[in-house]
Amino acid sequence: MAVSRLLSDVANALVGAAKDEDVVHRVVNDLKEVVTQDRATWTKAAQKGELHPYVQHAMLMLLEHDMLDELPRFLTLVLGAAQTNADHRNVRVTSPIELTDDERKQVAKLITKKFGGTHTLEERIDPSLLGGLVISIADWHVDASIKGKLARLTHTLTA
Amino acid sequence: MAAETQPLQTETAHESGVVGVLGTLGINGQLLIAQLINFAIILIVLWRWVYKPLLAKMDERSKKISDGLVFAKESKKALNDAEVERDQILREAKAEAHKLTEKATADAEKLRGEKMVQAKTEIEKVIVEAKQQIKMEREASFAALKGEIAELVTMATAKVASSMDEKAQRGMIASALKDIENA
Repeated sequence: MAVSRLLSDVANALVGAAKDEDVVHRVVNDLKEVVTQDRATWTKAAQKGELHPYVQHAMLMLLEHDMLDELPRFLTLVLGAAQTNADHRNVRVTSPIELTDDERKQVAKLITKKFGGTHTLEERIDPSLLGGLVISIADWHVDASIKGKLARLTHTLTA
Repeated sequence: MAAETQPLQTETAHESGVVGVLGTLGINGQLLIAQLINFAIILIVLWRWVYKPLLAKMDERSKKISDGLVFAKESKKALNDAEVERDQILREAKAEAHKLTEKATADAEKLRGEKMVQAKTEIEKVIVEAKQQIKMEREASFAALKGEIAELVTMATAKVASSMDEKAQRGMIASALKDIENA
């Protein structure tokens, strides 16, 4: 319980500070990088100044409390706090092939138009989608993939 | 003595006078008397042993005839009563038979109606069950057909999609973005 509370407090503090300096997008991206990397890699990145200072401070705090194993959970709390407190959304885009920059811009434009605020794109490649793409933002989910359309067609036909 | 002699003389004179008359008529008085006595005796005998039994017999006969007539009259009355009773019984029997016939007819009609309703219900039930069976089989067939169609469409689409080049994939992503924008 104390660990959860501490994680939540650090996440809220991190997002609050990032929002004040309008660097929520950077902080979230850096934290995502940290979560996907091993400790040595992100430590080096921190030493090189590639991580935002707020993220570095947060990592040190977790390190001091021996809570580095809770990083994925911390990231989830940060993403939640970013959406709630800073109008910053984590957009998960899944496509069968890697998106081009132009497609990323289109996705970003679309998300901004629909939700406003800022967002971070989290891309995933899933060839089983066959075509199209899937966009998820928290509990908002749109499946415009061929796989999803086929699933809906199958459901309609067999229901 | 003189007094006793006078009536005898008178009677004698009288007899003399009777004898004189009967004698004139040629009838012997004494004989007449004897005959009268005989007649009386015969009359008594006849009365006592002939006429009286005969009368009794006749009375008895009359009584028998009268009894017979009464019996015949009573018999006739009994016969009439029996005929009336027979007619009554026949009428009642006819009425009872008529009632029984009517009841049997009504019962038969009622039973026929019940059987008709029962048969109709059974037929309707069979029809409903048959319809349900047909519907279920049709739905099962459609479901199987739709499942097969869905599977075929999925397979065909997957095959087409797997052979799509990058340009086609980009086109599909662009189309998906348009769909999301318009959603």
